[in-house]
Amino acid sequence: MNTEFSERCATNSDSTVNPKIRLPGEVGIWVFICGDLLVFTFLFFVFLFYRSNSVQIYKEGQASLSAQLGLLNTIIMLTSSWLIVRATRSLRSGSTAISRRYLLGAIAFGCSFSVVKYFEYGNKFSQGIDITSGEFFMFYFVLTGIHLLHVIVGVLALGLLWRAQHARALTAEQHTLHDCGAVYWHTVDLLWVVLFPLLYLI
Amino acid sequence: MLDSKVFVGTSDWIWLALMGLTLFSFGSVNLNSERHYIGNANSLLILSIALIKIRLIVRNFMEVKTAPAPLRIALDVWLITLFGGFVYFLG
Repeated sequence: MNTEFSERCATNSDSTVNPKIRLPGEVGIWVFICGDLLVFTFLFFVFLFYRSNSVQIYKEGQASLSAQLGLLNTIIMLTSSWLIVRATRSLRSGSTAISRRYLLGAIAFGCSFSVVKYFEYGNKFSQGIDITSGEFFMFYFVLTGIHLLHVIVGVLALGLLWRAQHARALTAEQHTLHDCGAVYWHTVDLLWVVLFPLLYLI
Repeated sequence: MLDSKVFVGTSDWIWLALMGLTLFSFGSVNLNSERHYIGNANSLLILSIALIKIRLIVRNFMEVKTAPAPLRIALDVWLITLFGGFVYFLG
């Protein structure tokens, strides 16, 4: 394990009690993530509330979406998250070069997600469907739009991490930054894990 | 090849499980390439599967399994809240 990373773990206040207990990243990123999850939880419940009042209209709107593209994006997000886990593991074992390759893979998948969304939106616009085309599509564009914004920010953050990891030996701060980027990207992934069934399946 | 071993850790199996659960959810709605509408009970089942996937991601990918107790508890409470909301609106 990278020496500086080991030292950082050792100085973690929790790890003096139990060396296995460790907070990945900084407290600040977790505060942001928890806030983000609460906002999305509110949006999920608002969606379900309005849906329960007019289920048939929502099902008709859903029928016009491509569940296959939704599935493809789910596979893309899950795989991207998995590559980040592998990048983290490689980084901690001191293999910066391998970590960077996994990061690049995750970035490529993140970009693929955005490309699929671009075609999905394009298809809807060509059919004359936009955010004003009823309640279901208002939710569809708002929820997926906010999520897509998260994806774009995440891809940029992963790109910055990739660029910063060119040095052979990373500092403790760089390890912490990597962890922050990783947990953020996993959050983007898990939000899509709810959005996919909510908008495309149920 | 990025790694000498293709499948080496728990996270790899978790990824496979996530894929399996995703395909199961998708397949249950799109049987025989034909989309069919599902009732509230099945909708609740599919959303519950999503919550299981989230817990797998949170605990294993985000390493919350080994995080301090307040974070572990907070995220479990969040998942229970989501489940409660799903039951309330679909149950």
